[in-house]
Amino acid sequence: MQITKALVAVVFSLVLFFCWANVSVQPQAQGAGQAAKAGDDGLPVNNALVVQKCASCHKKDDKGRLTRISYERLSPEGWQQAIKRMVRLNGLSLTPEDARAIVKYLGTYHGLAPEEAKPAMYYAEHRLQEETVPDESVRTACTVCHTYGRIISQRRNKEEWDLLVNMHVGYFPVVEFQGFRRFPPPPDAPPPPPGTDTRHPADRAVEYLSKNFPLQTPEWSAWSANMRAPKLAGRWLLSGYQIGRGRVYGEVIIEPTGVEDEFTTKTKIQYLKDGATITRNGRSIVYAGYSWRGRSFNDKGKTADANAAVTTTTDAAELREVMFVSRDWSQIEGRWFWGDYEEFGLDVSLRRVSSEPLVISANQQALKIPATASATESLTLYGANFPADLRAEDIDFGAGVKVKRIANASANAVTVELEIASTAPVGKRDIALRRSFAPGAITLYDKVDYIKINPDNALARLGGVRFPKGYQQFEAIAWQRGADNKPQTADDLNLGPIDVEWSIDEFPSTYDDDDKNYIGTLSPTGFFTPSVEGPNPKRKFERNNYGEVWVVATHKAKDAAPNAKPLTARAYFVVTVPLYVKWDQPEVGR
Amino acid sequence: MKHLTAINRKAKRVEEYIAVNEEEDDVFALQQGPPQQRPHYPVGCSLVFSPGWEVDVTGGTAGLCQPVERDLYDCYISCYWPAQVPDHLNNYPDWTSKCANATKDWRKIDLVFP
Amino acid sequence: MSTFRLGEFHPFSGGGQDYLYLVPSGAIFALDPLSHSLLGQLKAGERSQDELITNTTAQGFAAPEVEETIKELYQAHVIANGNGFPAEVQAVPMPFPLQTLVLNVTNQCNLSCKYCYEFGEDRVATASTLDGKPKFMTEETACAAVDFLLANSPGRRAVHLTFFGGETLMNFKVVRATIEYARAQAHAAGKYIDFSLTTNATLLTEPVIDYLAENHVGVTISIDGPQEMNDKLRVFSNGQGSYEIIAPKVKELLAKHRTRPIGARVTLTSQVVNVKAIYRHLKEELGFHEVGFAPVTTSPVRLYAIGNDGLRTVLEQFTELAQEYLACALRDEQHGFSNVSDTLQELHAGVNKSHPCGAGLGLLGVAPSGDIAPCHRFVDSDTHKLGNLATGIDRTTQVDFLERGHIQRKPECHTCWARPVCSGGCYHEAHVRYGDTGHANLHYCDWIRGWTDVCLQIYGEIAARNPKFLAHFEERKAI
Repeated sequence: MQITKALVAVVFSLVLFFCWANVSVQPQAQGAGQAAKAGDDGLPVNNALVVQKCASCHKKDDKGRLTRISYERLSPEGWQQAIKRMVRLNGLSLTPEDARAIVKYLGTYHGLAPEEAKPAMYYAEHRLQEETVPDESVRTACTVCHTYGRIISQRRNKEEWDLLVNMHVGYFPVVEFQGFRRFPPPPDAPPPPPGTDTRHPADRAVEYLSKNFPLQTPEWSAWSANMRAPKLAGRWLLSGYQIGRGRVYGEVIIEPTGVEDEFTTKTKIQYLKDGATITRNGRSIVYAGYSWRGRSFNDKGKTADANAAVTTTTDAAELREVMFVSRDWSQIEGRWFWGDYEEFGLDVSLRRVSSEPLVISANQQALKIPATASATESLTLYGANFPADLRAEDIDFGAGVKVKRIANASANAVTVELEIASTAPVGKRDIALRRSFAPGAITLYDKVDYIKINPDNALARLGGVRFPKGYQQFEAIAWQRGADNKPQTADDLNLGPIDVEWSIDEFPSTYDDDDKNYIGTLSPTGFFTPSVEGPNPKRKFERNNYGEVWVVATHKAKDAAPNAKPLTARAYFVVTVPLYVKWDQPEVGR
Repeated sequence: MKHLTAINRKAKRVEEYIAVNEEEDDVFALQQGPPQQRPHYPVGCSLVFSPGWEVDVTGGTAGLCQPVERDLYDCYISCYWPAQVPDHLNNYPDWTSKCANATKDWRKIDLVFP
Repeated sequence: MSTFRLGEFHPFSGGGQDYLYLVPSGAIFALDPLSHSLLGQLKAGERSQDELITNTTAQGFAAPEVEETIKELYQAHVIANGNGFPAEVQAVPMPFPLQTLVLNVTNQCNLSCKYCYEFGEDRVATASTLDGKPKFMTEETACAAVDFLLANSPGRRAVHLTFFGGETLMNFKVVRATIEYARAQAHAAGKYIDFSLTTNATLLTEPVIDYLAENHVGVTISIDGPQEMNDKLRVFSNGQGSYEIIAPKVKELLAKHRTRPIGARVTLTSQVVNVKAIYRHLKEELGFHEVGFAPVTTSPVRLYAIGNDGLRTVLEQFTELAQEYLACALRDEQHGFSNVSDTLQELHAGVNKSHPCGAGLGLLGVAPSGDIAPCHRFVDSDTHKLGNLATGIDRTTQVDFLERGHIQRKPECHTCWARPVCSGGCYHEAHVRYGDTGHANLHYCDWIRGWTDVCLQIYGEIAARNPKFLAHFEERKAI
């Protein structure tokens, strides 16, 4: 529907071009003359190496500002990419050490404020996410090729946004008609109504971007004054979640390296569902005081089976960490990921361990409320500094749930026996252990009302011969209808993963669609392995093995009546061609 | 129906259908039931359709070039999808040197890391 | 909480009334001010039911009325929520009963019209595919075709036989024998059969005209307008124009043959595009009941191809002539511009086509050799042969042809609001342009949408100002 509208908009604006043609176009200022004209909004470069390596082309003015570089702020990945382009196309030559130092300086002092970076974190984290692009011109000019996350990871003044447009036109001239500009209307078209905005999408996008993503912002002023090297050394507890494998609990020891903003890590984590334990060693850089980029290796070293990384059941040889450090250095959140398309990952949340007790997670996500009387359940809580004199009444789950006794306790884990009353209200519960809270760590429910597939919209890529395969893990999540008694509403409760049977249904997009015979295989655990890339001589027109299907999950409750309808859910799934260009900046974590 | 007036014969049939099915199958009430899913673009897909790179205008692959290798050099030479396919113009002038015909020699095409 | 968004439709107005043309159903509904207001709000994007109710009651409408209207809009699929409505892909029931058989009684012609798809530069039948095949259909073949039609039309009470060419009347003897045989056989089979033919009029003689009139044979004359226009491309092999020969014959036919409406079929080319002048001449000076126009089918390189500018001009002239049709309809009078009446007929029925036309489905063409083709335009083309009268229809080839022509296989059409009436357009045109009968005719999309919109407005205005005129379209025309 969106696209239909967009086409209508294109057609409509064709009519408007005629008028545009009469509007004089402002001559674009070139980068070289920029510093002198740009006023006082540029950021001075106070780093000798950056000046030494860049100023031969990017002229320095008397206020220490370099053309281009002083008028934009980017994420570490943005700077990394810019430097690689300078090397590739503009004859820059750098040692890896210098490149690293330059990215670190620019990613910090020409970076983003935390408030600015937060909405774009998913892009650096390589998450599959629905994007809403709030501005039509940006959609037309930018996001037809790029993700919106890439756009909003940047800040520039107006002239810089203009120059970015020019760079695209210069390097990739086709963009002119792909989205930057409209075609002229037929010569006999009537003039557009007065007051019509007849500018091209690229020009309107520049206006929108310079207004909403300018170089100077209150957030950046405040943050650049306050920014400092974070002190993160210490013990941290980790709770996490991996699609298909469930909850993870563990700890991370962060140690200083002697270089500000850089750390080493020792990680030990356990998958709560299958008990698998993993230890890893890592290294990281924190840009701009909060933006963690790191990587870690399993204890088998990098020589571990190369396939290990793709079989989510195994420990990845190398994984990358992109995280966001809270302003008070008490929490770090983000994603650890691996895979050729960064398709595997853990959502992680780290909390700093102080001298106080800290409860962070439980071994189950949901507990069932009995229909009558009461039920006894056993539950293990994870955390740190659990006191030796811990008593049942120190642990609180809210109304209807009574801690009968502590069955087993250590400083890091405690197993409790719970009595759940049939009258206990349905809902998410915080777990309180003395003064420590694990917010919403457990959910009480009466029944599974429906299931959903996570992710419900996914993309895998053919590969295996010349290009890597892009895999996809699916899982089914059980849901309860929530307090309003209506399913599919905002108050519904996520009860965590549920066992299902997996299958693939055709998504009929052509008359005799048979994609499901070609795209690949879905395992009984919901793990999809795509077929090989390249033309398939067995398909009509030698089509590739691509296709789109429904992934279907079916859940039959063990205690359900024999004729009861099973719960089902489906996800739209596209298996498509490889990417031939990998725009990824793993260097920022090295 | 009060607010919509059926004009042509098909509209009258639609109206009759709704009237007949109102009781047993209240479509309006069903909207609280399981959501029907619409196919939609996964994030990061190129959405200019001519054809698109990963997905076509409907969010699927039916409209892509068949096979895509047939389209590859057009994209390369014309610099059409520089975010997905290497461009001939500036960044990768030698990308196709090992492969004269993508539909046949696609195994010789390289992945590039800009 | 349910949120709503616009479904798929094309809004239009006529006679001061706002309408919707729903896609893909083809239903046409008139809007009242309340539903109009709701759709206006949804134009800006998704809205929750509560928002819609709040905003609309603020305009003075009562909440229960608003709720009721939302429900009606939803039920009619004007608005959608969540996932929208499932796209139903209907399989065509096979074998599909035949309704019309087109007999190419000869592939010979006494004219040499330069654009002819039978013998011009773009013909599908070439010298090699014609080599060794009969040039005239024999009486045996024609009678076998009649038997074939009657045998393959189970469940149909009325069937239709059309004679085509080449020049049909060059084999009039067989036409006459076939009509007599067909009438007897149809009677025995308990079916009603009717006949029509298309001719260039050069061979119309008094006995032929009398026969056609007596036997209620529908006649369509190929003629391109007044002499100076007709004679540009409709010529004898020596280059001499045909108008002078045919004009008196046509007048005689129109004077004598009153049992069926006689229509003129005009081929528009880059050299013949003056629609109004042609219509005036054929309708008012020669006296045809109906005049239908079709842009020439050809690859775009031919000199007589109508370019995009030309199509725009044609649309403008069609629109002007259609306004005359409208004026007549509002006075309850018939107008002979059959492009309008044909389109209104389809819009009134609310067609929702899986295939652009009945070719290969309810309609088949038969070559002089007895070979079966999807329609008369494909006869004698070996690559499009669907079988032979002797061996029957090759179902595999037929299914392949139909599958390729199905609207589901034309992704370019899936976002187009005119697809219920167009469904991708003429197979033959697609073959000539794109080398594939299953290709959407993208070169005339704007034309189709433009013309459908013009006809919708006319339909809307008739519905608003003289609704009883729509009764003319109640009776279903044969394909």
